[in-house]
Amino acid sequence: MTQFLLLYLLFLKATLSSFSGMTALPILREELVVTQRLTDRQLNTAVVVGRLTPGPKGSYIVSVGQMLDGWRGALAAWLALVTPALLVLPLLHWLGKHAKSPGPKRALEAVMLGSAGLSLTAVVPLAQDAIDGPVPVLLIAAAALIFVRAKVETIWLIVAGAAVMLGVKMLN
Amino acid sequence: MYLADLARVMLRAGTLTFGGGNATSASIRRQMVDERGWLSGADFTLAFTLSRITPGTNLFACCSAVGYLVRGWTGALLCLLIASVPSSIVTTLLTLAMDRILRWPPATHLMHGAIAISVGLSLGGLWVLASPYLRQAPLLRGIVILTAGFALATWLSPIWVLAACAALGYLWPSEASPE
Repeated sequence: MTQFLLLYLLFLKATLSSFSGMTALPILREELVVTQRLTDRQLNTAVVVGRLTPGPKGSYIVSVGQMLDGWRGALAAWLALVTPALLVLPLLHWLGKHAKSPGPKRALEAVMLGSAGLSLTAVVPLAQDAIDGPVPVLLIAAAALIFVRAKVETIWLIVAGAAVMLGVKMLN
Repeated sequence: MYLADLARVMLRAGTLTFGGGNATSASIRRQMVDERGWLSGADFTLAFTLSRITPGTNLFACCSAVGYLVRGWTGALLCLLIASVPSSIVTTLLTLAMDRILRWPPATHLMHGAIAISVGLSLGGLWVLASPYLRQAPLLRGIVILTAGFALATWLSPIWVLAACAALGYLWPSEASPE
């Protein structure tokens, strides 16, 4: 129980001090890799798992939890991921009342656009990792276009992209 | 609208949408605003933006906020659980299998393709979320704020970038905006 609580608090510290997907990574690295509870390779594998699964990329923390203490660790990490989410409700309750006035409404729209810009900064390194020739570029463009234009379940795009890449590598 | 309908929509968005938080948020917007009309665009914007200034995983905060706006506290807890539990189970199972998967030579190529698609989905999700404001709000404002967000993020922490964008939006001269 103490181990579970300690893990939960460690993950909570990381999630509470981050405001977007991967910003908890340096904290986890310092707490786990530097103290030799996890290797850099394991942490990288967890990040890859987070990118390959549905939901937020930040769910790599659940993978880290699993590596540290099996299902119990995964549970502690999941709890730490969902706990801060409820903080949005008091914000919604109090700020929601003023959201329809012109000034706050423009501020909210600006935050929406600003977060798009912010998210682009997170996508760029992922794209750099993925692009090693023309095929990934085509896959990225096709996936973005299909997502915007058509209502296809994204799981099928993932399957198709994986198959195309395997096919291309085998042909080469 | 029944809780079961809300649960179904959230399960579909949370479990079948790959590409990270932006793609999933875009999928939730499509389902709840465009297709079912459970929320107005302005309500979704409120939920999404407040989730961005909430510490932790933005997507889970967004799901809680959307659930709260649709069905109060019950909706918030239901959406949070449904958005997070299945994807966390998938993450745990994939972690368990990862060592074995990585020993299989074609796995690297498969993952490479999947990650490229995931990047594309993330970009597509960003477009779905931002385009209503880029299209309907005056273009200049959209471009200025988007660029400011992108540029500032390279040296400021996300929360300060968003605060700067909010101040810019608040102070910008009043004009017609979507919804």
